[in-house]
Amino acid sequence: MPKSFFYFDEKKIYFEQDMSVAAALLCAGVTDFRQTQVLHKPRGPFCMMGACFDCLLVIDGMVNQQGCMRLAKEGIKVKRQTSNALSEIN
Amino acid sequence: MRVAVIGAGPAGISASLALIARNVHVTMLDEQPSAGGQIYRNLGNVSRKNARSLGSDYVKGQSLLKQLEQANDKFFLTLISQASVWSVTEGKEVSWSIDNKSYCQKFDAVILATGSLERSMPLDGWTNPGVMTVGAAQILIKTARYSPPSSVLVGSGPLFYLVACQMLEMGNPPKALLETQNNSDLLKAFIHLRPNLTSLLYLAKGLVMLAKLRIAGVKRIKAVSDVRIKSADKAHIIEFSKAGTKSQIEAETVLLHAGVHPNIQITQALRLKHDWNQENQCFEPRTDKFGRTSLNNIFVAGDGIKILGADAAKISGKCAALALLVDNGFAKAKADLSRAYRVHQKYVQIRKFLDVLYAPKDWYSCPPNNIIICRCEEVIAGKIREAVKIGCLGPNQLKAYSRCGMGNCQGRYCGNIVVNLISQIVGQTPQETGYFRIRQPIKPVTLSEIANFQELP
Amino acid sequence: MRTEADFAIIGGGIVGLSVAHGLLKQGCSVICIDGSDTDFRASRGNFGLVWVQGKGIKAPFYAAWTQNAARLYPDFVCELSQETGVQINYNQAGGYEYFTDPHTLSQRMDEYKQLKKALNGDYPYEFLSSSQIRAAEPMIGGETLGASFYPYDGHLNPLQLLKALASYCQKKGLSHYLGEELETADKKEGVFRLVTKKGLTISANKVVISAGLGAKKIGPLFGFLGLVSPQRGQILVTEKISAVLNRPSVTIRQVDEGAIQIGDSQEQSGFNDKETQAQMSRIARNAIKVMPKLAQLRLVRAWGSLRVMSPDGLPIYHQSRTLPGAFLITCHSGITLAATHSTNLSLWLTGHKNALELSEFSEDRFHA
Repeated sequence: MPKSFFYFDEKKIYFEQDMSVAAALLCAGVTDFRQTQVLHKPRGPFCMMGACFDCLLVIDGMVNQQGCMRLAKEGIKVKRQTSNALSEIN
Repeated sequence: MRVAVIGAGPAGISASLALIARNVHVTMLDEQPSAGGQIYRNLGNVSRKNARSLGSDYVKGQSLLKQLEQANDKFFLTLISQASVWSVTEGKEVSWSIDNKSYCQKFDAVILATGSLERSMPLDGWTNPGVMTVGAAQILIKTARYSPPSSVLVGSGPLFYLVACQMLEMGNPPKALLETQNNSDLLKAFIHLRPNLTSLLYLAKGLVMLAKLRIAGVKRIKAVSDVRIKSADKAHIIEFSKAGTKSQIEAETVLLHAGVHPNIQITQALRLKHDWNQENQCFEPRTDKFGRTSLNNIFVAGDGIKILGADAAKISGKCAALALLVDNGFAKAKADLSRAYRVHQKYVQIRKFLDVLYAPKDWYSCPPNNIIICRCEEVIAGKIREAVKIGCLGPNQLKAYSRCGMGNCQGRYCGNIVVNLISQIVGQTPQETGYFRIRQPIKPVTLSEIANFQELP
Repeated sequence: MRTEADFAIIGGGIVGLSVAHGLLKQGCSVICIDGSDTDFRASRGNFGLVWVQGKGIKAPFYAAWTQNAARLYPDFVCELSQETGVQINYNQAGGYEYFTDPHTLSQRMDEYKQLKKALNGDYPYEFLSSSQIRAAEPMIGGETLGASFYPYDGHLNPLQLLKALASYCQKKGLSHYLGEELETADKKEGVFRLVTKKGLTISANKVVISAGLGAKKIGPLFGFLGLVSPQRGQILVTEKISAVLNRPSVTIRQVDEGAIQIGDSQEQSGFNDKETQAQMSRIARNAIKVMPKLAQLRLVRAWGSLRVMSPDGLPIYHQSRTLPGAFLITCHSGITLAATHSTNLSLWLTGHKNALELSEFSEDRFHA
């Protein structure tokens, strides 16, 4: 059975079971999820339980999505969040 | 009568089961995809073999989850998972968000069982990618069967050793444990050891874990302080001091842990009184011995009141539910409540010993000026100290002068450190300093959800 | 820290510190007695506007006072920033009020026409049509029919302003006592003696009461009516995003850090500054009506704060008749009036020959 994957920027991130987007990224060796807004520093997951808000990603065009609180799904488009990111507001 | 139980960990599940047993309608709201809280995270989905490798404490949760599953088929329980509760009012109106849609429902009573958070360990480099909490590693193990390779753990506490063992079971033992407590802590703690059966069993468990780690050859470096993490690409260099000597060690992942403290976001938003626990260096909501708050029909249960562990949380949940029943006319529950309370008290004995043994250290509780304290707004300790000197008696003025506490996490990770910093400079007790004013929504919600939330009957 | 001074100021919020700023510049010695971290503190809970339009429609002298206050602002902020190094981020590029109801819009047009006449033409407002406002502010859409515009409206970071004032005053010798509450006050041989609950004793030649809602209790000690009452306003704050709003409006502005701040409400809730779902919902709905694209933004926090309202909503500047040398200063627009409080009010307090009379703002207007 082919493995499921989603895109993180241009990279294919494979996942096998019900796990969060953050977990899938960490398993694939990705630790840098976003850039902070004040000092433009790189950040990644810290608590993995939805409390620290450091694992923020752009998921399907929406900014500030907590990677640890969203389940990885086939076909979602995940992007590293830069400090000036704005949701693709329709 | 309809009760909302916020949190599906041991306390929340226990409370719900006790209420359902007496035909009370319960709506459980939990933000994870399945019940279990953090301690029994994903337990419902892992295989028997994998669960066993994570230790007996994890497996213990299975019977509780099974009871919940059976109750879920009955009429009285509504379990809503992936629900982010963002508001609980004095009037017992609970608002939650699922998939960008919000709902609001008024209940007759609410039991808050939102558990704990890991204590902040602000040190140089703690915000770097690849630096996480020990709890985060445990969640990775439980939900993704992944244990980060070549990890170094920094800190102390029961969870610290448990996760080290779980990583060992996964085949990726920690490269080293940098332990912050020292022999003097151990001596001081022993005075508080009051052996009862519960304490002795607990200690035995701890000793078994340490033995496993020793047999596996996991390096333990004790009495470590002044930890600094320098990160480059995917590797970290951890500098530390031990007995006046500086050393360093490399790691692919750094995992921090300095104990846990109650998650007080909702209790603070309700403006309940909180008391400072000096040993555990945190605020705890003021409740009576069964979990009643000063607000009618609002209760707190489990580690959300005081850190006593999962087994105690189970009983605490039961106590809160029984107290709720007693308050609402179920007089027969009184006897059960006294019995449950007596069991609960057994778990309190070991706590003083643990709190003193793993007491937080000054070098990260009151860090030097260059360390980031507020992760969200990137505010360093120096800026906080400067703002306090301009004129702050408490965290709310500090928030105004420095933005510390205004970010997404709303003080979850900087709160207790800020209290320490202010208290130290002003020369007052943490109790006098007080805490941030926490407001609804306690989790971010879209404007469209706020504008259009659905009121349930 | 001194216990004797020319001036004792009771209340160290934006009004008290603005006045202290001006007094210290004049060379006076000043003590400030201030409350606690958990007091209501309107200075920490305001919208951050330096705003002229919409004020004094029925009281042209107040519109003129406010207009003048805005004109003094740029220099005031510039000097404060330079002296303290605190970034106040004051932006005075004009501001809007958005309208979705044709009746309210035409009523406002009439009101400004009248006001301009009363001010002898010195009131440079404009009205923008539906297409004009959409061109000026790309986020505008939905039900917006038009907007009023006043060129000297603006906004700043009010918390940084407060911090800058506190820092400046500290540097220039203000003795600022925190966590205090006034217990007794008397005047002997021309000198006021104030004693706090904690036993701190202060002597001063003159006393200023700028204690916000506390004026109700403290005012009568000095012979004032102290007619202030609380009015709650609630505000929503969104996540930070890149710059999307060019100018502030009276209910929606993008703050310097990037979040969008949305107000507001005017509620009689007593001494209760809690946030409520009903108001949060209403504020969100109204904002989405005017800027539909706001709907997807996440609310990070909401809060309520208590405005300090006089019976007619105008400031009160009054010298006590029974205890001359005691002054009451109160308003709900402490941010907007900060510059003029520093300059004009401090001249009034020291009895300077160039001081304005300000009799229109006295308590006498409340004796029917």
